[in-house]
Amino acid sequence: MLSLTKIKNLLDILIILTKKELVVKYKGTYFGYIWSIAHPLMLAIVFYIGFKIVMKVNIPDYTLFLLTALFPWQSFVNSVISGTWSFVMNASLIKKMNFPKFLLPLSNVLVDMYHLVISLPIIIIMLIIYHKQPFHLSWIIFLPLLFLFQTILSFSFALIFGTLNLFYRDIDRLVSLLMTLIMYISPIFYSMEFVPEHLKKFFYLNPLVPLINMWRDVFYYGTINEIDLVACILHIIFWGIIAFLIYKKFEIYFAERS
Amino acid sequence: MNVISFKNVTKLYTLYYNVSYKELLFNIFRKNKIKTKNYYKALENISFNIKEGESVGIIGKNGSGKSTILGLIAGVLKPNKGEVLVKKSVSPLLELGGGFHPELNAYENIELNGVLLGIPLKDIRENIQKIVEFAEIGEFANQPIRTYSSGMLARLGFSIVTQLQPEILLIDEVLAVGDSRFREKCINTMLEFKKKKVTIIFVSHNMDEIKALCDRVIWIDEHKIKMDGKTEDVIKEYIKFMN
Repeated sequence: MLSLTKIKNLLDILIILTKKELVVKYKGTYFGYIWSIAHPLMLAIVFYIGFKIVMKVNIPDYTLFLLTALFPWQSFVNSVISGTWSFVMNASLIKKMNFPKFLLPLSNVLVDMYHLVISLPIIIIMLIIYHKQPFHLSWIIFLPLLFLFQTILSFSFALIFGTLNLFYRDIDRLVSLLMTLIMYISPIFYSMEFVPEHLKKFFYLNPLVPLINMWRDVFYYGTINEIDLVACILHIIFWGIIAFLIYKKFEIYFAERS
Repeated sequence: MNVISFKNVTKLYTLYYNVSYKELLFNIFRKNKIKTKNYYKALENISFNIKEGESVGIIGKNGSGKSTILGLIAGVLKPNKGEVLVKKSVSPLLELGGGFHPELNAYENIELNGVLLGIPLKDIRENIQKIVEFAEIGEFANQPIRTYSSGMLARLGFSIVTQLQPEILLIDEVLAVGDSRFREKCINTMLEFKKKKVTIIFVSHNMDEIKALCDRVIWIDEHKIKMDGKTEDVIKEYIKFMN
Protein backbone atom coordinates (compact mmCIF):
# COMPACT_ATOMS: atom_id res chain seq x y z
CA MET A 1 0.00 0.00 0.00
CA LEU A 2 2.54 2.56 1.15
CA SER A 3 5.17 2.64 -1.55
CA LEU A 4 8.31 4.71 -1.37
CA THR A 5 7.02 7.24 -3.91
CA LYS A 6 3.86 7.59 -1.84
CA ILE A 7 5.85 8.34 1.32
CA LYS A 8 8.01 10.79 -0.62
CA ASN A 9 4.83 12.53 -1.81
CA LEU A 10 3.46 12.76 1.75
CA LEU A 11 6.73 14.38 2.84
CA ASP A 12 6.59 16.78 -0.12
CA ILE A 13 3.03 17.77 0.81
CA LEU A 14 4.03 18.26 4.45
CA ILE A 15 7.00 20.46 3.51
CA ILE A 16 4.97 22.60 1.11
CA LEU A 17 2.05 22.95 3.55
CA THR A 18 4.39 23.95 6.38
CA LYS A 19 6.10 26.51 4.16
CA LYS A 20 2.67 27.78 3.13
CA GLU A 21 1.58 28.16 6.76
CA LEU A 22 4.72 30.15 7.54
CA VAL A 23 4.22 32.42 4.53
CA VAL A 24 0.53 32.98 5.25
CA LYS A 25 1.02 33.48 8.99
CA TYR A 26 3.36 36.43 8.61
CA LYS A 27 1.95 37.93 5.43
CA GLY A 28 1.60 41.66 5.90
CA THR A 29 3.29 41.77 9.32
CA TYR A 30 6.40 43.88 9.77
CA PHE A 31 8.03 42.00 12.66
CA GLY A 32 7.16 38.51 11.42
CA TYR A 33 8.77 35.76 13.51
CA ILE A 34 9.58 38.16 16.32
CA TRP A 35 5.95 38.02 17.39
CA SER A 36 6.16 34.35 18.23
CA ILE A 37 9.06 35.07 20.59
CA ALA A 38 7.70 38.35 21.90
CA HIS A 39 4.48 36.77 23.11
CA PRO A 40 6.00 34.45 25.77
CA LEU A 41 8.48 37.16 26.74
CA MET A 42 5.66 39.62 27.41
CA LEU A 43 3.81 36.99 29.43
CA ALA A 44 6.97 36.40 31.45
CA ILE A 45 7.16 40.11 32.29
CA VAL A 46 3.51 40.22 33.32
CA PHE A 47 3.81 37.10 35.48
CA TYR A 48 6.99 38.46 37.02
CA ILE A 49 5.16 41.60 38.06
CA GLY A 50 2.11 39.71 39.29
CA PHE A 51 3.67 36.80 41.10
CA LYS A 52 7.19 37.88 42.04
CA ILE A 53 6.76 41.55 42.80
CA VAL A 54 3.17 41.67 44.04
CA MET A 55 2.51 38.16 45.42
CA LYS A 56 6.15 37.61 46.43
CA VAL A 57 6.35 33.99 45.31
CA ASN A 58 9.46 32.40 46.74
CA ILE A 59 11.04 30.90 43.62
CA PRO A 60 14.63 31.85 42.72
CA ASP A 61 15.58 33.00 39.19
CA TYR A 62 11.90 33.54 38.47
CA THR A 63 12.27 34.89 34.90
CA LEU A 64 14.25 31.82 33.86
CA PHE A 65 11.78 29.63 35.73
CA LEU A 66 8.87 31.17 33.81
CA LEU A 67 10.48 31.08 30.37
CA THR A 68 11.52 27.42 30.53
CA ALA A 69 7.80 26.60 30.77
CA LEU A 70 6.28 29.46 28.81
CA PHE A 71 7.98 28.67 25.50
CA PRO A 72 6.79 25.03 25.33
CA TRP A 73 3.38 26.01 26.69
CA GLN A 74 2.96 28.77 24.10
CA SER A 75 3.97 26.37 21.34
CA PHE A 76 1.38 23.83 22.50
CA VAL A 77 -1.41 26.41 22.72
CA ASN A 78 -0.61 27.90 19.31
CA SER A 79 -0.53 24.45 17.70
CA VAL A 80 -3.87 23.47 19.16
CA ILE A 81 -5.57 26.75 18.28
CA SER A 82 -4.29 26.85 14.69
CA GLY A 83 -5.00 23.12 14.41
CA THR A 84 -8.59 23.74 15.44
CA TRP A 85 -8.98 25.93 12.36
CA SER A 86 -6.77 23.96 9.99
CA PHE A 87 -9.54 22.03 8.25
CA VAL A 88 -12.01 24.91 8.17
CA MET A 89 -9.45 27.35 6.77
CA ASN A 90 -8.29 24.95 4.06
CA ALA A 91 -11.76 24.05 2.80
CA SER A 92 -10.84 24.82 -0.80
CA LEU A 93 -8.02 22.26 -0.70
CA ILE A 94 -10.14 19.60 1.03
CA LYS A 95 -13.05 19.96 -1.37
CA LYS A 96 -11.03 19.72 -4.54
CA MET A 97 -8.01 17.57 -3.78
CA ASN A 98 -7.73 14.00 -2.65
CA PHE A 99 -4.87 13.82 -0.15
CA PRO A 100 -4.43 12.72 3.49
CA LYS A 101 -6.12 15.54 5.39
CA PHE A 102 -4.26 14.95 8.67
CA LEU A 103 -1.25 16.62 7.03
CA LEU A 104 -3.00 20.00 7.45
CA PRO A 105 -2.98 20.15 11.28
CA LEU A 106 0.40 18.42 11.31
CA SER A 107 1.83 21.28 9.25
CA ASN A 108 0.39 23.74 11.79
CA VAL A 109 2.12 21.86 14.58
CA LEU A 110 5.42 21.81 12.70
CA VAL A 111 5.27 25.60 12.29
CA ASP A 112 5.05 25.96 16.07
CA MET A 113 7.77 23.38 16.62
CA TYR A 114 9.96 25.47 14.38
CA HIS A 115 9.20 28.50 16.56
CA LEU A 116 10.08 26.49 19.64
CA VAL A 117 13.44 25.57 18.11
CA ILE A 118 14.29 29.17 17.30
CA SER A 119 13.40 30.19 20.87
CA LEU A 120 16.03 27.81 22.33
CA PRO A 121 18.86 30.40 22.03
CA ILE A 122 16.85 32.74 24.27
CA ILE A 123 16.61 30.07 26.96
CA ILE A 124 20.35 29.44 26.67
CA ILE A 125 21.03 33.17 27.04
CA MET A 126 18.81 33.23 30.14
CA LEU A 127 20.69 30.22 31.58
CA ILE A 128 23.97 32.13 31.12
CA ILE A 129 22.53 35.30 32.68
CA TYR A 130 21.43 33.33 35.75
CA HIS A 131 24.82 31.57 36.02
CA LYS A 132 23.38 28.16 35.20
CA GLN A 133 25.07 25.54 33.11
CA PRO A 134 24.11 26.59 29.53
CA PHE A 135 24.56 23.14 28.02
CA HIS A 136 24.13 19.55 29.16
CA LEU A 137 25.45 16.60 27.20
CA SER A 138 22.16 14.76 27.87
CA TRP A 139 20.36 17.39 25.75
CA ILE A 140 21.51 15.55 22.65
CA ILE A 141 19.05 12.80 23.57
CA PHE A 142 16.50 14.59 25.73
CA LEU A 143 15.77 17.63 23.56
CA PRO A 144 14.85 15.63 20.42
CA LEU A 145 12.80 13.32 22.65
CA LEU A 146 10.88 16.22 24.18
CA PHE A 147 10.33 17.77 20.76
CA LEU A 148 8.93 14.45 19.59
CA PHE A 149 6.63 14.16 22.63
CA GLN A 150 5.44 17.72 22.24
CA THR A 151 4.80 17.24 18.51
CA ILE A 152 2.73 14.10 19.02
CA LEU A 153 0.74 15.57 21.91
CA SER A 154 0.05 18.88 20.11
CA PHE A 155 -0.84 17.02 16.92
CA SER A 156 -3.29 14.74 18.75
CA PHE A 157 -5.21 17.68 20.18
CA ALA A 158 -4.99 19.67 16.93
CA LEU A 159 -6.48 16.69 15.11
CA ILE A 160 -9.26 16.12 17.66
CA PHE A 161 -10.37 19.76 17.80
CA GLY A 162 -9.75 20.41 14.10
CA THR A 163 -11.99 17.49 13.12
CA LEU A 164 -14.78 18.32 15.55
CA ASN A 165 -14.66 22.01 14.62
CA LEU A 166 -15.76 21.11 11.09
CA PHE A 167 -18.97 19.70 12.49
CA TYR A 168 -19.59 21.83 15.60
CA ARG A 169 -18.24 25.37 15.51
CA ASP A 170 -18.72 25.49 19.29
CA ILE A 171 -15.38 23.68 19.52
CA ASP A 172 -13.53 26.90 18.73
CA ARG A 173 -15.08 28.60 21.78
CA LEU A 174 -14.40 25.55 23.91
CA VAL A 175 -10.73 25.45 22.86
CA SER A 176 -10.02 29.08 23.73
CA LEU A 177 -11.64 28.52 27.13
CA LEU A 178 -9.71 25.29 27.72
CA MET A 179 -6.42 26.88 26.75
CA THR A 180 -6.91 29.63 29.32
CA LEU A 181 -7.90 27.15 32.02
CA ILE A 182 -5.06 24.75 31.30
CA MET A 183 -2.54 27.51 31.88
CA TYR A 184 -3.57 27.79 35.54
CA ILE A 185 -3.53 24.06 36.19
CA SER A 186 -0.10 23.62 34.61
CA PRO A 187 3.17 24.24 36.48
CA ILE A 188 4.06 27.41 34.61
CA PHE A 189 4.29 30.11 37.27
CA TYR A 190 4.53 27.61 40.12
CA SER A 191 6.28 24.26 40.44
CA MET A 192 4.73 20.93 41.41
CA GLU A 193 6.16 21.32 44.95
CA PHE A 194 3.52 23.98 45.59
CA VAL A 195 0.70 21.57 44.75
CA PRO A 196 -0.79 19.83 47.84
CA GLU A 197 0.35 16.20 47.98
CA HIS A 198 -3.15 14.67 47.84
CA LEU A 199 -4.02 16.69 44.71
CA LYS A 200 -0.89 15.90 42.73
CA LYS A 201 -2.30 12.78 41.09
CA PHE A 202 -5.25 14.78 39.77
CA PHE A 203 -2.90 17.37 38.32
CA TYR A 204 -1.25 14.62 36.36
CA LEU A 205 -4.50 14.13 34.43
CA ASN A 206 -3.51 17.31 32.62
CA PRO A 207 -1.31 16.18 29.70
CA LEU A 208 0.81 19.32 29.95
CA VAL A 209 1.92 18.68 33.56
CA PRO A 210 4.47 15.91 32.87
CA LEU A 211 5.59 17.58 29.64
CA ILE A 212 6.31 20.97 31.20
CA ASN A 213 8.01 19.34 34.20
CA MET A 214 10.32 17.52 31.83
CA TRP A 215 11.16 20.63 29.78
CA ARG A 216 12.08 22.50 32.94
CA ASP A 217 14.15 19.64 34.39
CA VAL A 218 16.01 19.20 31.13
CA PHE A 219 16.81 22.91 30.83
CA TYR A 220 17.83 23.27 34.50
CA TYR A 221 19.56 20.00 35.28
CA GLY A 222 19.71 17.96 32.06
CA THR A 223 17.66 15.19 33.70
CA ILE A 224 14.20 13.68 33.36
CA ASN A 225 12.02 12.41 36.20
CA GLU A 226 10.79 8.82 35.57
CA ILE A 227 7.27 9.56 36.79
CA ASP A 228 6.95 12.44 34.31
CA LEU A 229 8.33 10.28 31.52
CA VAL A 230 5.86 7.47 32.14
CA ALA A 231 2.93 9.87 32.63
CA CYS A 232 3.77 11.69 29.40
CA ILE A 233 4.00 8.47 27.38
CA LEU A 234 0.65 7.30 28.80
CA HIS A 235 -0.92 10.63 27.83
CA ILE A 236 0.55 10.37 24.32
CA ILE A 237 -0.83 6.85 23.84
CA PHE A 238 -4.25 7.74 25.23
CA TRP A 239 -4.78 11.00 23.30
CA GLY A 240 -3.14 9.57 20.20
CA ILE A 241 -5.69 6.76 20.07
CA ILE A 242 -8.60 9.13 20.72
CA ALA A 243 -7.39 11.45 17.95
CA PHE A 244 -6.96 8.57 15.51
CA LEU A 245 -10.45 7.20 16.20
CA ILE A 246 -12.19 10.58 15.86
CA TYR A 247 -10.29 11.43 12.67
CA LYS A 248 -10.98 8.03 11.09
CA LYS A 249 -14.67 8.26 11.90
CA PHE A 250 -15.18 11.68 10.34
CA GLU A 251 -12.57 11.77 7.58
CA ILE A 252 -14.88 10.66 4.75
CA TYR A 253 -17.31 13.52 5.43
CA PHE A 254 -14.64 16.26 5.32
CA ALA A 255 -15.27 17.35 1.72
CA GLU A 256 -19.03 17.65 2.33
CA ARG A 257 -18.76 19.61 5.56
CA SER A 258 -15.95 22.04 4.82
CA MET B 1 -9.55 -1.51 -20.28
CA ASN B 2 -11.95 0.38 -18.04
CA VAL B 3 -10.16 3.09 -16.09
CA ILE B 4 -13.28 4.43 -14.40
CA SER B 5 -16.28 2.39 -13.44
CA PHE B 6 -19.40 3.35 -11.49
CA LYS B 7 -21.53 0.48 -10.22
CA ASN B 8 -24.99 1.43 -8.93
CA VAL B 9 -23.65 4.56 -7.31
CA THR B 10 -25.91 6.59 -5.05
CA LYS B 11 -24.70 9.78 -3.41
CA LEU B 12 -26.66 11.48 -0.65
CA TYR B 13 -25.91 14.82 0.92
CA THR B 14 -27.02 15.36 4.47
CA LEU B 15 -29.11 18.47 4.94
CA TYR B 16 -28.86 20.06 8.33
CA TYR B 17 -31.15 22.29 10.22
CA ASN B 18 -30.64 23.58 13.69
CA VAL B 19 -32.50 22.05 16.56
CA SER B 20 -33.21 24.51 19.34
CA TYR B 21 -32.26 23.76 22.92
CA LYS B 22 -35.93 23.70 23.86
CA GLU B 23 -36.67 20.96 21.36
CA LEU B 24 -33.66 19.02 22.58
CA LEU B 25 -34.71 19.33 26.24
CA PHE B 26 -38.24 18.21 25.58
CA ASN B 27 -37.18 15.36 23.37
CA ILE B 28 -34.20 14.04 25.23
CA PHE B 29 -36.12 11.30 27.02
CA ARG B 30 -38.24 10.26 24.11
CA LYS B 31 -37.44 6.96 22.53
CA ASN B 32 -37.63 8.03 18.92
CA LYS B 33 -35.17 10.86 18.68
CA ILE B 34 -36.24 13.96 16.83
CA LYS B 35 -35.35 13.98 13.21
CA THR B 36 -32.34 16.20 12.71
CA LYS B 37 -31.26 14.85 9.38
CA ASN B 38 -32.65 15.00 5.93
CA TYR B 39 -31.13 13.74 2.76
CA TYR B 40 -30.73 15.22 -0.66
CA LYS B 41 -30.21 12.64 -3.35
CA ALA B 42 -27.56 14.00 -5.72
CA LEU B 43 -27.08 10.80 -7.71
CA GLU B 44 -29.35 7.80 -7.84
CA ASN B 45 -28.19 4.36 -8.88
CA ILE B 46 -25.76 5.43 -11.59
CA SER B 47 -23.68 2.94 -13.54
CA PHE B 48 -21.23 3.52 -16.39
CA ASN B 49 -17.75 2.55 -17.52
CA ILE B 50 -15.11 4.72 -19.14
CA LYS B 51 -12.32 3.11 -21.12
CA GLU B 52 -8.73 4.24 -21.25
CA GLY B 53 -8.25 7.07 -23.75
CA GLU B 54 -11.95 7.90 -24.06
CA SER B 55 -13.07 11.53 -24.10
CA VAL B 56 -16.42 11.77 -22.38
CA GLY B 57 -18.58 14.84 -22.06
CA ILE B 58 -21.03 15.19 -19.21
CA ILE B 59 -24.01 17.45 -19.79
CA GLY B 60 -27.19 18.29 -17.96
CA LYS B 61 -28.89 21.26 -16.39
CA ASN B 62 -27.67 22.93 -13.20
CA GLY B 63 -28.01 20.83 -10.08
CA SER B 64 -28.41 17.56 -11.94
CA GLY B 65 -25.36 15.95 -10.32
CA LYS B 66 -22.54 16.53 -12.82
CA SER B 67 -20.07 17.97 -10.33
CA THR B 68 -20.86 15.21 -7.85
CA ILE B 69 -19.77 12.66 -10.47
CA LEU B 70 -16.46 14.46 -10.91
CA GLY B 71 -16.02 14.74 -7.13
CA LEU B 72 -16.53 10.97 -6.84
CA ILE B 73 -13.99 10.27 -9.61
CA ALA B 74 -11.49 12.65 -7.97
CA GLY B 75 -11.96 10.77 -4.70
CA VAL B 76 -12.93 13.80 -2.60
CA LEU B 77 -16.45 12.42 -2.21
CA LYS B 78 -17.35 8.88 -1.22
CA PRO B 79 -20.50 7.13 -2.50
CA ASN B 80 -23.20 6.15 0.01
CA LYS B 81 -24.13 3.09 -2.02
CA GLY B 82 -22.44 1.31 -4.86
CA GLU B 83 -18.85 1.36 -5.95
CA VAL B 84 -16.54 3.78 -7.72
CA LEU B 85 -13.37 2.31 -9.20
CA VAL B 86 -10.64 4.55 -10.61
CA LYS B 87 -7.52 2.82 -11.86
CA LYS B 88 -5.18 5.69 -12.74
CA SER B 89 -4.09 8.93 -11.13
CA VAL B 90 -6.58 11.75 -11.53
CA SER B 91 -5.82 15.40 -12.25
CA PRO B 92 -8.93 17.35 -11.31
CA LEU B 93 -9.74 20.91 -12.26
CA LEU B 94 -13.02 21.20 -10.44
CA GLU B 95 -13.54 24.73 -9.32
CA LEU B 96 -12.11 28.15 -9.93
CA GLY B 97 -9.26 28.59 -7.47
CA GLY B 98 -9.90 25.18 -5.91
CA GLY B 99 -6.71 23.69 -4.51
CA PHE B 100 -5.13 27.13 -4.34
CA HIS B 101 -4.39 29.39 -1.42
CA PRO B 102 -5.38 33.03 -2.00
CA GLU B 103 -2.37 34.49 -0.17
CA LEU B 104 0.27 32.56 -2.11
CA ASN B 105 1.67 33.62 -5.47
CA ALA B 106 1.55 31.57 -8.67
CA TYR B 107 4.83 29.74 -8.05
CA GLU B 108 3.91 28.77 -4.49
CA ASN B 109 0.45 27.67 -5.60
CA ILE B 110 1.84 25.56 -8.42
CA GLU B 111 4.04 23.72 -5.91
CA LEU B 112 1.14 23.29 -3.48
CA ASN B 113 -1.30 22.15 -6.13
CA GLY B 114 1.27 19.88 -7.74
CA VAL B 115 2.25 17.96 -4.61
CA LEU B 116 -1.42 17.57 -3.69
CA LEU B 117 -1.91 15.99 -7.14
CA GLY B 118 0.76 13.49 -6.13
CA ILE B 119 3.53 14.80 -8.38
CA PRO B 120 7.12 14.73 -7.09
CA LEU B 121 8.37 18.17 -6.06
CA LYS B 122 11.40 17.79 -8.33
CA ASP B 123 9.21 17.34 -11.43
CA ILE B 124 7.09 20.34 -10.47
CA ARG B 125 10.13 22.58 -10.11
CA GLU B 126 11.43 21.46 -13.49
CA ASN B 127 8.14 22.38 -15.15
CA ILE B 128 7.26 25.47 -13.13
CA GLN B 129 8.48 28.01 -15.70
CA LYS B 130 6.64 26.22 -18.48
CA ILE B 131 3.41 26.29 -16.45
CA VAL B 132 3.64 30.01 -15.73
CA GLU B 133 4.34 30.75 -19.39
CA PHE B 134 1.45 28.60 -20.60
CA ALA B 135 -0.91 30.39 -18.19
CA GLU B 136 0.12 33.76 -19.65
CA ILE B 137 -0.14 35.57 -16.32
CA GLY B 138 3.02 37.59 -16.95
CA GLU B 139 4.14 39.92 -14.18
CA PHE B 140 1.31 38.76 -11.92
CA ALA B 141 3.14 35.48 -11.28
CA ASN B 142 4.76 36.98 -8.17
CA GLN B 143 1.53 38.43 -6.79
CA PRO B 144 -0.83 36.61 -4.39
CA ILE B 145 -3.51 34.93 -6.46
CA ARG B 146 -6.33 36.71 -4.62
CA THR B 147 -5.45 39.63 -6.91
CA TYR B 148 -6.09 37.55 -10.05
CA SER B 149 -9.09 37.86 -12.31
CA SER B 150 -11.26 34.77 -12.73
CA GLY B 151 -9.83 34.27 -16.22
CA MET B 152 -6.29 34.26 -14.84
CA LEU B 153 -7.24 31.74 -12.16
CA ALA B 154 -8.77 29.43 -14.76
CA ARG B 155 -5.64 29.74 -16.93
CA LEU B 156 -3.34 28.94 -14.01
CA GLY B 157 -5.43 25.95 -12.93
CA PHE B 158 -5.61 24.57 -16.43
CA SER B 159 -1.87 25.05 -16.97
CA ILE B 160 -1.02 23.07 -13.84
CA VAL B 161 -3.20 20.06 -14.58
CA THR B 162 -2.13 19.90 -18.21
CA GLN B 163 1.60 20.62 -17.97
CA LEU B 164 2.13 17.83 -15.45
CA GLN B 165 1.28 14.86 -17.68
CA PRO B 166 -2.07 13.70 -16.33
CA GLU B 167 -3.47 10.17 -16.78
CA ILE B 168 -7.10 11.10 -16.23
CA LEU B 169 -8.13 14.71 -16.73
CA LEU B 170 -11.30 16.11 -15.11
CA ILE B 171 -12.41 19.55 -16.26
CA ASP B 172 -15.50 21.09 -14.66
CA GLU B 173 -16.94 24.13 -16.44
CA VAL B 174 -14.09 26.32 -15.19
CA LEU B 175 -12.93 27.17 -18.70
CA ALA B 176 -16.14 29.09 -19.29
CA VAL B 177 -14.58 32.22 -17.74
CA GLY B 178 -11.58 32.26 -20.10
CA ASP B 179 -11.58 34.39 -23.23
CA SER B 180 -12.17 32.75 -26.59
CA ARG B 181 -8.49 32.66 -27.47
CA PHE B 182 -7.53 30.84 -24.30
CA ARG B 183 -10.44 28.43 -24.64
CA GLU B 184 -9.25 27.56 -28.09
CA LYS B 185 -5.79 26.94 -26.66
CA CYS B 186 -7.33 24.68 -24.00
CA ILE B 187 -9.33 22.69 -26.53
CA ASN B 188 -6.19 22.25 -28.66
CA THR B 189 -4.23 21.06 -25.63
CA MET B 190 -6.97 18.59 -24.76
CA LEU B 191 -7.08 17.34 -28.36
CA GLU B 192 -3.35 16.66 -28.09
CA PHE B 193 -3.97 14.71 -24.90
CA LYS B 194 -6.67 12.78 -26.67
CA LYS B 195 -4.14 11.70 -29.28
CA LYS B 196 -1.85 10.56 -26.46
CA LYS B 197 -4.69 8.38 -25.10
CA VAL B 198 -5.27 10.44 -21.96
CA THR B 199 -8.74 9.82 -20.53
CA ILE B 200 -10.70 13.08 -20.41
CA ILE B 201 -13.95 13.82 -18.58
CA PHE B 202 -15.28 17.20 -19.60
CA VAL B 203 -18.24 19.01 -18.09
CA SER B 204 -19.48 21.94 -20.14
CA HIS B 205 -22.58 23.79 -21.22
CA ASN B 206 -20.93 24.71 -24.48
CA MET B 207 -22.10 22.12 -27.01
CA ASP B 208 -19.59 23.22 -29.65
CA GLU B 209 -16.69 22.45 -27.31
CA ILE B 210 -18.23 19.10 -26.39
CA LYS B 211 -18.63 18.28 -30.08
CA ALA B 212 -15.04 19.27 -30.81
CA LEU B 213 -13.59 17.14 -28.05
CA CYS B 214 -15.82 14.24 -27.02
CA ASP B 215 -16.68 10.97 -28.73
CA ARG B 216 -19.24 10.08 -26.15
CA VAL B 217 -21.62 12.07 -23.97
CA ILE B 218 -23.41 11.16 -20.77
CA TRP B 219 -26.51 13.22 -20.13
CA ILE B 220 -27.52 13.49 -16.50
CA ASP B 221 -31.04 14.58 -15.67
CA GLU B 222 -32.81 14.54 -12.30
CA HIS B 223 -29.82 12.71 -10.73
CA LYS B 224 -30.01 9.80 -13.15
CA ILE B 225 -28.47 8.97 -16.50
CA LYS B 226 -30.97 10.09 -19.11
CA MET B 227 -28.87 9.10 -22.09
CA ASP B 228 -25.40 7.73 -22.76
CA GLY B 229 -24.10 7.42 -26.30
CA LYS B 230 -22.49 9.03 -29.30
CA THR B 231 -21.94 12.78 -29.00
CA GLU B 232 -24.15 13.81 -31.93
CA ASP B 233 -27.12 11.67 -30.90
CA VAL B 234 -27.10 12.76 -27.27
CA ILE B 235 -26.63 16.45 -28.04
CA LYS B 236 -29.48 16.36 -30.58
CA GLU B 237 -31.85 14.91 -27.99
CA TYR B 238 -30.55 17.25 -25.28
CA ILE B 239 -31.17 20.38 -27.37
CA LYS B 240 -34.63 19.12 -28.26
CA PHE B 241 -35.33 18.49 -24.57
CA MET B 242 -34.05 21.86 -23.40
CA ASN B 243 -36.22 23.74 -25.86
